[in-house]
Amino acid sequence: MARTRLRALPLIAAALVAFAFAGQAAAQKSAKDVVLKFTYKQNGASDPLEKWLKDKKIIEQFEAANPGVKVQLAPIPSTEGDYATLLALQLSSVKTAPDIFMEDTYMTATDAASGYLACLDPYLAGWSDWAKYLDGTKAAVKGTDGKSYGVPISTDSRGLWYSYEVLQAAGVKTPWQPKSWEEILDTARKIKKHDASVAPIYLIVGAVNGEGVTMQTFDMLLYGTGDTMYENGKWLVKSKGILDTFRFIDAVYNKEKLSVGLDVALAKDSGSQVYAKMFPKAKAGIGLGVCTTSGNWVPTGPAPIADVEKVFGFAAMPTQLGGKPATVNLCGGWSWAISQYSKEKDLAFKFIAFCGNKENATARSLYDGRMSPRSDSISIDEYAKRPFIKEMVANMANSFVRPKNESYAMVSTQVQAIVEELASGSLTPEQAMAQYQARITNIVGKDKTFEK
Amino acid sequence: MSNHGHRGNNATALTLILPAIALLGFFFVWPIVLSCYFSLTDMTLSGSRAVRYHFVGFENFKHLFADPLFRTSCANTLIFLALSAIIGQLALGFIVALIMRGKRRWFRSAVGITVIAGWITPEVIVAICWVAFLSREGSVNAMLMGAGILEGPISWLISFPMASVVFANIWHGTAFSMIQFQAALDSIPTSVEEAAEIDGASGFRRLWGITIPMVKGTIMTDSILITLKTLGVFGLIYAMTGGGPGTKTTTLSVYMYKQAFSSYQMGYGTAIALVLLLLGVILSLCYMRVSKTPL
Repeated sequence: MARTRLRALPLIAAALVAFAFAGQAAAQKSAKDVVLKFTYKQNGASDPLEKWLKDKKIIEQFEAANPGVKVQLAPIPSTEGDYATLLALQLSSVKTAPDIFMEDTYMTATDAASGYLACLDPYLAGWSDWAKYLDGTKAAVKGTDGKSYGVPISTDSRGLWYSYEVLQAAGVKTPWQPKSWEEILDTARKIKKHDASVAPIYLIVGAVNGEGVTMQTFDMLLYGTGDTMYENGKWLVKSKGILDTFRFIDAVYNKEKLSVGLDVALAKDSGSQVYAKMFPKAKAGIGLGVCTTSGNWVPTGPAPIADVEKVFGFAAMPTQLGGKPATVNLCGGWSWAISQYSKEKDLAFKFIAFCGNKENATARSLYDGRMSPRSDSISIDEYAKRPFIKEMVANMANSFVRPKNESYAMVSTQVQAIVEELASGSLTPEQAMAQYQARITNIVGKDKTFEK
Repeated sequence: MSNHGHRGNNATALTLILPAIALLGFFFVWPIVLSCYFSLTDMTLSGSRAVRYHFVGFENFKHLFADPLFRTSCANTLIFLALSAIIGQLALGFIVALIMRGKRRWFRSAVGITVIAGWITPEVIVAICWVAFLSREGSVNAMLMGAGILEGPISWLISFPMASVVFANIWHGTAFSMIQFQAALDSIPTSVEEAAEIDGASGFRRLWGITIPMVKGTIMTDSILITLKTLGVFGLIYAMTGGGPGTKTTTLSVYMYKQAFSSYQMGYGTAIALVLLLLGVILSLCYMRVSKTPL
């Protein structure tokens, strides 16, 4: 008797489990609303995207206009680098993929190649607003196959932020516009000489800051030497430009110690430490940053500064030796995208189109200080009057976008690791270039690389 | 009573053990088999090779052994292992257990609770505590500066990253060894040591000649367990230093994570994972060999 009962135990357990699953499935099916799962990167409690969603009642408006549709927020609280990983993991399964999500355009080509993203061309063809989007931003959401996989949320403009107070105290003439790398270093030396407690330059070098290291530090330097990362389907793995780029970073962080301390530079929140704490206290002079940096100083930001255009300046990043072209800029940006697995692609695009209309897209860019992807945003007063907007637009003259290749995301993380190793003194510039060559070759294969 | 002729019993035993075998097969053996396979592919987390990956033979392992970062990670792993597990947890755990031996109850409880507090704290919380403790504005700097030993604050995690994670891991893990040694030491009959004492053996001699040989089995088991645990330490290091600055605290488990989940090289990351697994097996065999004790 006892034995029979024991034998029945696994059966009973199996039955119970089966019932539990059946119950769950039934519960899901009984829901009447169509649910759109919406995933985005959440950056702390004062996330600009969430503020925009809340203040402008984006979700409420959309749900009111589309009865029976519910938008379910599924934010991923993480750093920039981790977001791309966590998102890629979610996108890889039909069970976890969100319908709509925010995607950094550096991942677009990669994720599109894996078939995670829905092609939006059929939708864009019938969307009159699409003509208003800037060409550069349209290029950023394309896959390697030339099809579009997103609607741009933002684009950006990069250059040198500086503090009038710090530069003037060091005897540097303002407004400041360096003509070459050497002039940047020269100014930094003056700042250091005048007051050693002030950090002369901040370059993003902590791998934890993800894509910023590649775009804002490595690319802004490399593309100013005349070299680029990727030409004619091949990756540049060895050149004087790469070596000079590493030498510049090494000069700032190691050789001449013109940087912020490594404890600040390698912290997860190094950007806000520098721009929201050190800059307002005149404890940092120059930062190679992005237009969103000014988001720190707007009235709703973490360190509001009145009349900010008189306190801080923005200079275009000069090319290595100046001359022609005189300045360099890298354009990135984020996009709205739809999962290949979404069962509600039409509705999902409707939501994206709503977020990307003139009013909403422009309003959103006011929250985080990025540039609007739409050419007609400038006709909205609030946007046109934003601090530094003229400098930002002018700065986009000699702009590059990141390589459109599905290996870019993987190459980029190697760049991030190498730059951190270099800045923290584990590698010399020469070793860094050897590492660069070895690791990139490892990813893309020797036949896809070239030297200069 | 013999089991022969009790087929019914065997069947019951099999039925009862089957779920365990199934679970073990599904959650342990199968993933290892899969890992072995993935490590021979060029699988990535995203991109075309995420869905259409290819069999590349031993390509990943070839790259691995030519990869200077892999060598750095191996060296870091062995340093971390030797300092934090063997010298730190094992030796310290033994010493603490030895000191507590035969002491009053309240003393044993007080020391025990203090040491065990570190052990029951989850890894990431340990990391957060130590980051707070070692940061520029942290308590270590405050104490050392207060005592006049330091003039200005030191960023311990930047200047002494390996030492920082080693101390954190010792603090976190020592209790495990201590508990094991307490039990082992308590099981040594006092008469043996008393006899040695009467024979005139010094304290050190008694420790070396009697106590240690009698807890040899525990030393071996403990070595294996903490070695395997330390090889797998990821959260603590990742949360404290992220493997940095640069690669200064990148152990194999951190490197594996970075390759698989930051650089999206799943195949390569899996190859590193297998090497890590192999390292654990080899070290365990070495310990057994050295102590000549079968597990």
